[in-house]
Amino acid sequence: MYIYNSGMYLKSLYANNFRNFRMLELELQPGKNLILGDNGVGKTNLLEIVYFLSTFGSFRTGENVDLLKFGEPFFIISGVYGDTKVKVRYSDKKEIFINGLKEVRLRDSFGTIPVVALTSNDLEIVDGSPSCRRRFINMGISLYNRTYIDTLSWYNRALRQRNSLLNHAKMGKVIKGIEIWEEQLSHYALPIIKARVDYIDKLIKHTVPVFNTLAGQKLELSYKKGGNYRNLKEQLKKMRNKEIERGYTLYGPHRDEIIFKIDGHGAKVSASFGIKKALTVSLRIAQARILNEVRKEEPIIILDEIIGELDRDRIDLLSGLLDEYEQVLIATTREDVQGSGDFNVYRIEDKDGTPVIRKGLKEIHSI
Amino acid sequence: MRLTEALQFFPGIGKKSAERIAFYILSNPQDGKKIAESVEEVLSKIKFCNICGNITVEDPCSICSSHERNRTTICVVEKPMDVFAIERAGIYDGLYHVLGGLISPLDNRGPDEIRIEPLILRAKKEDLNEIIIATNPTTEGEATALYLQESLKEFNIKISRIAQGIPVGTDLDFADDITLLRAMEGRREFKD
Ligand SMILES: Nc1ncnc2c1ncn2[C@@H]1O[C@H](COP(=O)(O)OP(=O)(O)OP(=O)(O)O)[C@@H](O)[C@H]1O
Ligand SMILES: [Mg+2]
Ligand SMILES: [Zn+2]
Repeated sequence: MYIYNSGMYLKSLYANNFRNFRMLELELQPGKNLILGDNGVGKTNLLEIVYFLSTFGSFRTGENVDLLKFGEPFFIISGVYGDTKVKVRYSDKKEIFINGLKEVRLRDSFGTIPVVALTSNDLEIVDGSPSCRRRFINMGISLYNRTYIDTLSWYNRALRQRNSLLNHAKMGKVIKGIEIWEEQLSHYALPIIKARVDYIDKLIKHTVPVFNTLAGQKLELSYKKGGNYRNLKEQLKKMRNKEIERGYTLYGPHRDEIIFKIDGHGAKVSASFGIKKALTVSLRIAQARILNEVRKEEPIIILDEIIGELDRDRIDLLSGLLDEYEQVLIATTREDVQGSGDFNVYRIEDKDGTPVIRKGLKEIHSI
Repeated sequence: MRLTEALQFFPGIGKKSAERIAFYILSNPQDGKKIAESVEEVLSKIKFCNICGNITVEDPCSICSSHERNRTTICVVEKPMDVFAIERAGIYDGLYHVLGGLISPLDNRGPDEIRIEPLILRAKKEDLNEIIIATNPTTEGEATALYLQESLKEFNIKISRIAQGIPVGTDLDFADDITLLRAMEGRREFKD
């Protein structure tokens, strides 16, 4: 048994009209929680609530309307983390309340509940386009550095402005003042790059050993910079004509890339499916460890399946790795995961289109 | 209904409020007429000041024609609301220049589409000590400030930028008086 004394875990969850939940009221325990249930009962939906309370977005969809229970005009979700209550109300727009007080700006409460999610979408970190890897890095940094969120959005805004000018020029219009956008881009790029260099250093430190434990292979992770960061402004100026031809900006942090090599070979093209899984799991565990290192707070870990997709030995290994966290929520269809450690077991069943949750034998939620 | 759509142009008015107001106007036609008349009266009298670009009834406006004010300093803002916010705070006694927008290629607004040229003319003609650039600290506000700084540096005038006391992403007209005061006091001179 483990002793949890910080109290920094999700104590309860509430949802109204979120996905297939009409009304959910659920008490949660610290430690490892297993959410068992057949396909399509609402396991992922439950984890989605937790993730949304942390990042005000979903790991499955970019559209908040998708989260409304079919035909309903609003949803309300809330969770109590330690002594903090985070509540989100959505209809047309999102409203966020921290301990009952409405937040004016979303980014001020981003990550109030620190959550790291392992989902099957994570495979895109290895297989997807470079933007998927940048998104992974951005999310990791944003969870502890809110200034980074601002800088990134200013950078992107300046980028769109410059691209729009490049496009005007491409169509033969006379453009004026492109220098100011180049100045802005190189100005905002600086703190972005600095945060990324720092983050990737930490990521290497934490991912490599975890990956070695899970896969027994050697991982190399490197940061390929998207521009000449010793003088980005000069580079943008020099390349302006080439960029006008293309109609967009070719250099800068929006072109950064992360490269994974396993035993010397590019992971995207050479690694097996299982090894790619092990890599994404290692990256997420590393993300959680970094969060703990800088925020001095254990994030809540959520796993959507993942664990059930690994082989027996790796399930035990991963289950062991998860012991260090204050609270872990695992959704799976596989009963046998229970054998890999101490779990609080919750069961979700579908009763006439409504999910019903039981802890042990007790029915704790039914509407 | 066209009325509710029109009402939604107003800042802070969403669909529901627009419907409520429209319903009120329909059920109280007298009040509705009064509003329509005062809007029309205001619109027929109001014009832009030829010097500073602020909205005014008299041209030039009362600030531009005042001799009580410090006529060697110009504070450059994006829109008339910003002049109103700074005046209300009572922390500044110089002149103003309203740009009427910020540079934003995405909105097809280049330097020539806002009142930068008139500002350069003023810098040439008027006897100025200082130009304070008080555009909002957004990407466009900063970019416009950079452009102004470049365009004004040939004159022998101190160019300064208000400090970042204003929370990011907030409009000047929402900033409270204390924050504005701090921003004005903490302005820094542009240096290359
Ligand atoms: N917006 C919505 N409103 C109502 N029901 C929804 C909504 N979106 C999804 N659902 C329902 O939720 C169920 C899927 O839930 P979820 O994805 O959480 O299942 P799961 O338990 O994770 O299943 P699996 O084991 O296959 O991953 C489906 O029955 C689907 O119809
Ligand atoms: Mg699922
Ligand atoms: Zn005037």
